[in-house]
Amino acid sequence: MSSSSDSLVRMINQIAANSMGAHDPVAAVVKHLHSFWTPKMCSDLKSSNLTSELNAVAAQALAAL
Amino acid sequence: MKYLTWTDEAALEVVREHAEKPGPMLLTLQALQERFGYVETSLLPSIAKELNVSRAEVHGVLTYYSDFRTTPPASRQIHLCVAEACQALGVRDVVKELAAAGYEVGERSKDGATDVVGVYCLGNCALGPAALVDGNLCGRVSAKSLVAQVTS
Amino acid sequence: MTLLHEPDLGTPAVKSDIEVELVIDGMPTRVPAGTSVMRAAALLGTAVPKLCATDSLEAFGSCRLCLVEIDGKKGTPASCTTPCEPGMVVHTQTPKLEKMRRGVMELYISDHPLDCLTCPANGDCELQDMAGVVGLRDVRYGLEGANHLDAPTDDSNPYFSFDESKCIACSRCVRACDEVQGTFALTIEGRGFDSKISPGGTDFMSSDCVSCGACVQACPTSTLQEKTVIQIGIPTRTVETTCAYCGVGCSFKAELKGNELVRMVPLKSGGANEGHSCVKGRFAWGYASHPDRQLEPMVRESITDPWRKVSWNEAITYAATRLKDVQAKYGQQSIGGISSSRCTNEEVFVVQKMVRAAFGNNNIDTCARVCHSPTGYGLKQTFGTSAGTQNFASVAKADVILLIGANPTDAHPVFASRMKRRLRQGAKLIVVDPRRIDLVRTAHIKAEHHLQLLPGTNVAIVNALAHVAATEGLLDEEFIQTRTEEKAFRDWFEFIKKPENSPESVEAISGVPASELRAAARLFATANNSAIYYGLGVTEHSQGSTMVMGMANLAMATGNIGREGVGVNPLRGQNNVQGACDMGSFPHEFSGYRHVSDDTVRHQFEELWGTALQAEPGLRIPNMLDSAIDGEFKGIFIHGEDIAQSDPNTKHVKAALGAMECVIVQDLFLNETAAFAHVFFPGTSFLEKDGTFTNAERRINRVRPIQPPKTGKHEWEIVAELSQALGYPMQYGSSAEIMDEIATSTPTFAGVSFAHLDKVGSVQWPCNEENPVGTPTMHVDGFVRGLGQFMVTPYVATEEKSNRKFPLLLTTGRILSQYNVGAQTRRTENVNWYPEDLLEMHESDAELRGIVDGSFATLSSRVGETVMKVTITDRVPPGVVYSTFHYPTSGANVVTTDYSDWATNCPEYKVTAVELRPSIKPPQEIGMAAADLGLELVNE
Ligand code: SF4
Ligand code: SF4
Ligand code: SF4
Ligand code: FES
Ligand code: FES
Repeated sequence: MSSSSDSLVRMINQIAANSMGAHDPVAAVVKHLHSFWTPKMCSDLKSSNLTSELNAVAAQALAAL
Repeated sequence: MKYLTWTDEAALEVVREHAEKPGPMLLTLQALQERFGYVETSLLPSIAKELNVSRAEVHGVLTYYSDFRTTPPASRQIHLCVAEACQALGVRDVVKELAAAGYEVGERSKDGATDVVGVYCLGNCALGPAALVDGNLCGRVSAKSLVAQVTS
Repeated sequence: MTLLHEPDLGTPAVKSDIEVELVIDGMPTRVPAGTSVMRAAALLGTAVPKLCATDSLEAFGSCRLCLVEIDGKKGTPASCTTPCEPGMVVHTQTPKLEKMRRGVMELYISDHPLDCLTCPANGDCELQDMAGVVGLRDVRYGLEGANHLDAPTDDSNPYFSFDESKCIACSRCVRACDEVQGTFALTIEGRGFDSKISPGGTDFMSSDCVSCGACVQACPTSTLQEKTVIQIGIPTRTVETTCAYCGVGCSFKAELKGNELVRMVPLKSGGANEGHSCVKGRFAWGYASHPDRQLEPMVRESITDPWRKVSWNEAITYAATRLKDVQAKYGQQSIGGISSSRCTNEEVFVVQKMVRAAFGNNNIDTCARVCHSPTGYGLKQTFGTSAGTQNFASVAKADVILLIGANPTDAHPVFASRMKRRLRQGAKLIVVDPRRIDLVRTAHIKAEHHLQLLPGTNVAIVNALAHVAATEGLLDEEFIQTRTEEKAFRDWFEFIKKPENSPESVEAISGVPASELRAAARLFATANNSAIYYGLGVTEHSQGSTMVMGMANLAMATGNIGREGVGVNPLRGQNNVQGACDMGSFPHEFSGYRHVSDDTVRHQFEELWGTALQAEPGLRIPNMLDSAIDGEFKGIFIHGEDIAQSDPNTKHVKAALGAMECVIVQDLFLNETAAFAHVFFPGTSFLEKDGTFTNAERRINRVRPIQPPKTGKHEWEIVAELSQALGYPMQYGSSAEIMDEIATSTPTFAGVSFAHLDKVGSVQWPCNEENPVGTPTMHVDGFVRGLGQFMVTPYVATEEKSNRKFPLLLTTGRILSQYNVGAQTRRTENVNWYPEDLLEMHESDAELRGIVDGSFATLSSRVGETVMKVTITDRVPPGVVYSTFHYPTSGANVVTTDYSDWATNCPEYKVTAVELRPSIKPPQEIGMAAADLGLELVNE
């Protein structure tokens, strides 16, 4: 478990929690990741073994990437 | 005149009584002086805070009026008029005699019990030399009569 | 190059639509009604003699030197206090006036030491000038009468002295302190002949004085005088430049004698400061020549080796080789850069260009990340532009000021003075802050409401304010209909009406009484002009971006956008935070806030720079550090930034730096971060820089050098040469050429050039064809994004909550005399005011833990601990402690965690769960040890 994946989990969960007010929270999270995350951050998180720690919206968003 | 002993708490209470009144600064300082006989300068920052002004502003008012004191008064007070009419009626001699008796005008008496202050006209010119002894107006005073009063 | 004398017209300008005509000394003239006769004459070029008047202060009429004769009027009125009237015929020079003025001067001089020849103000003294002007030849009154010639000098202030014997009791100093600065530290003590200037019965250092220097500037004599003038002499030439401390961006005249800086005097025509300054800008520039400053480049193989001083050539080649090696070994993405918001726009622009074009990736971030990134995000989402909406002068039209998480009297002093002036005129203030900042109650200022919330509950509060407006019919329907997106508003309206946003619900979360919230909301929503000002207390939270959007919602909902006196205004920390953000130093954006994935924009830069650019965002600082610890990110160029001290969770930062194979630091001093560096490039101080800073009101100000770089190279030159050495050619003849490139590539800067700035002084972007002299107020007829967009802003509690183990909440801030991590201010006389970091805590919390006032205590959080000196105060409520972060010895960031804003990763400095316990030992030399290590190694 790397230091990055840990932070990435925390970050995406937090982004999801704060996007709940949006019309389509999953889409909002996806848009956010596209705008601000490097492709490697996304792929690192996908391939990490920590995806079980994601909240529902975060998990859906990651899957939709 | 009996004054209360200065404590910061008691003084602040007096300040707060007046803080909300319009133009509170003079009222407050006067009230403090009435109650305690003087205004302790170490309290200036707190007075300023209560009145929502700066410490310098309180200092300015306090030093502008010569009536305000910043040290505790002696137990007895002589305010001797040294203005023109009283001079014509011989107050200069009174001043000299008082000094000889240990009561220099502008200072505290040698025995430490009386403050002697020179003032300008008490509105009692016809009965000069005039003086206030502990706030009571007296006419035709002499050094002797004054000393007698404050030592009685 | 000569000394710039800005004309003094005697009394302030008056604004009026009505003009009056009059004749002065035979010359007809027209002035706005209300203008003084003195000013009208000065505008005609006739300087009426004066001593007590100066145009930064209201007329006072005490010196009687400015007497004039007016046809049909009896006597000789003072021209400074006499307003012009239609048809007046004024004479400023008559034999009668001359005689009277000479008489007045004679009296002044009779009580003034006649040592003009040896006086430090010789040649810069209005009394001396006036004596000449009125033709004073001899003084009938001897100096043997009662006088003040033996009056003592007060030298307690480190920067200026007060020589009472020279005072003419004009009270300009008193009025400057009251009217301009708003501190009311001075008074006239006593009365009549005995009256004298006094800082409240003590010396200056023990008084309320904040050493802004306004009184020194206002003093017509040498009574109040800069000590540098006494030491060095009267300056002979001026260079106009900009303060490099805070986001106010004050314009200054650097006054020099030959090549030596004598003093800094704020520029009256400066758009941000209009002739005022604070102690930092005016006085704290000594660090620029501090012996700690490094002037030569240095390299070392490993961070345990001693530094080796080398030539620029060698250092640059060495750095380039190391970076190339790292990229060869770990890939193109393995290096990056951090730009500094202390540097000029031009320097920042070339750093981000180097990363994108020469490093070949987008791993560029800026230290603005740690302060105002949520501002950019939040205002872009709602208004369409990442910047504040007003100019500073706008506050003079505000009726209600909502101040959130900012402490302007300490952090943005010159803006605070403007704000205080408006408050004294009757505007109402609402303060939202866990701590009782000075503005809550200070001389002649009293906040209407202080919403003393628990740290971390900002969003709940702003939602509650909007809730009241929305449910009590206080919305500005017309503004909402015409200026904002309907659907977004509907969504927001439904959201904000919910009971969870009511003051009653929010009281439970924030600790602010519902009644107080309601009253504050009504005050804000019903005033003509309500303005929001905010600082790091808004942005440095896990919901920093949400809060910025929440404030934007509130402003739009109440129609407080798009004119003077209103708006949403960030008070930026460092001098060039705005500029650093504008210049494209975020990993996802080119200059002008355009996303790297935008093909049109990217192709434009590819063409301009002649190289391919990446379309995906790069790493942010925290992600760089994380992946450094993972062993993937290996090289970094850190420009003028001390991340080991200023970034949260020091331990983590140091571990990350320690894991890198090439750390290049460019700074004035061997800072904390330099302890981990392999290459050190010495930087230039603002006195050597040639470029521009952009302040919090989007104002682009010129920074002009008073001397060539002490290091031999401009910082942009170093970056260009490093790029070159990395194989990407970058060549500029001067920093003006860099600005030209910025203007070509960035629409909001299209009209900016050094030549233009030199002509007009400063401009607020957007500056382009439509707005050639800039844009003081934004979103006037429409938002930059077209229609304003309401955003739904639910409150999400921070994960950093107090608990049994860490029951207190720590929040952080800064103090007036110090600046940020203090690298500069700690190296000036400003240490006299604040020699160490202090931790404020409430009496009840202290008692519980057996901590006494002035003692040391160990401050611990779940990530680290440090020792600090404690002050017991009722400024903070029970449960909250507050500390500053200016000194490395206390290392306040040792305890802050790496929680951050959800959208921008701006660290959550403002909330950390902590515990305190008494400590007998003073703070360890945590940070200093690192810096000292570097220094010692050099000396070996
Ligand atoms: S330096 Fe500034 S605060 Fe101090 S007395 Fe002068 S004007 Fe007032
Ligand atoms: S110190 Fe200077 S400004 Fe102040 S009253 Fe004296 S001469 Fe005037
Ligand atoms: S207010 Fe800011 S910009 Fe102005 S002088 Fe002070 S530190 Fe410098
Ligand atoms: S002169 Fe002494 S009482 Fe009037
Ligand atoms: S300048 Fe007008 S009275 Fe002093």
